[in-house]
Amino acid sequence: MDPIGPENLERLLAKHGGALVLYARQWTAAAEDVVQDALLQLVQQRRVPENVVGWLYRAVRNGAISAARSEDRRRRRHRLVADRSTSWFKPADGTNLDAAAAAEALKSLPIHQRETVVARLWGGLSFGEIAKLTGTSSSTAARRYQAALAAMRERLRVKCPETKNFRPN
Amino acid sequence: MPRNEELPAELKAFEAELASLVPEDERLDRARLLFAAGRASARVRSRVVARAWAAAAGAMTVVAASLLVALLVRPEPPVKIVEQIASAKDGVAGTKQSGVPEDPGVVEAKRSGIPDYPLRYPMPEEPSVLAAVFFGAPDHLASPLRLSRDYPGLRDWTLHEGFDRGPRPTVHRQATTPKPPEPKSYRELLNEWVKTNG
Repeated sequence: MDPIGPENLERLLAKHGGALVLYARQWTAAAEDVVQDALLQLVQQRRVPENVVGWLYRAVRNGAISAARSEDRRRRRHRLVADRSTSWFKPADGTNLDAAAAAEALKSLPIHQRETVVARLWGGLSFGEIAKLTGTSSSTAARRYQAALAAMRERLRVKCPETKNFRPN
Repeated sequence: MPRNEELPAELKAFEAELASLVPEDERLDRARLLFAAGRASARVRSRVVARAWAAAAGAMTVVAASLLVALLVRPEPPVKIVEQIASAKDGVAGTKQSGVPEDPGVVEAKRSGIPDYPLRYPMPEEPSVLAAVFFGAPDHLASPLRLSRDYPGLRDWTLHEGFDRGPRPTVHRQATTPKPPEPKSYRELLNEWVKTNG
């Protein structure tokens, strides 16, 4: 397959840009830089990978982890300050969820649950792809996803009509 | 593998609610990213072209080096000496044996007492294939007529190419014996006798 063109890159950016940034934010505050580097790496590939989205998530994951490792203490403090001022979600319309509260609930999860939820829910990756990405099995990824949703729901105390064991505030 | 459909109903609803949130990507500068991507792809293309040129130059260098080595270590070509001696006597004998009419040049040579005609012609040096490619074939080889040794062949070639372009025959002449002194006249004999006796 030929190298990726500008139209495809723009389409990828429009469809997955936000989710990739959110995915990178699970490790580093410089998420935009990491995503940009991953996209540039994709452009420089001689052959487009078979699973472009999966490849991008892997590149973003690697870049974000190494960016988090390379941040020194002072920079990390600055980034944390900047991170607090950055919202993870756009203000939500037509939903009962508060975007800021959802972001806080997501931040409270362990990292392996967070990355699974982001990759699955906003990235649209299958459990098989997530398993490849995180180096686990598909069933483990699915279990993590379910546990993460339950924990977030518990934290947000979302009232769902189907819930039998609903506990009021 | 547990699939999404296996989620409890309350989690399914919560999942749908959560999925309605849109990740923030305002800080992702799309214009700058696309510009950088264009530059990166151009660098990749120029790198490919540069590699192609480098590969071609390398291949040509290897070929040139191989030719140089082959030129330096090649053995000296064997010297090929072609000599044909046809004396007048042999020619007559050959005529008798083969019945082929004798070359008029040989007949003339016999008549004039010049031995060994047309005895030796310098053989045109055959150029190597490489020299023929780079410098072209010599003129007498480039002629459509082949230079032959017999008289009709020499005649045709000379008429076609001109006498000046043809090979110069090397004729070996035998040293001529000095002529005996001619007899003196009576007057000269008388003068000599008067000078010595009186």
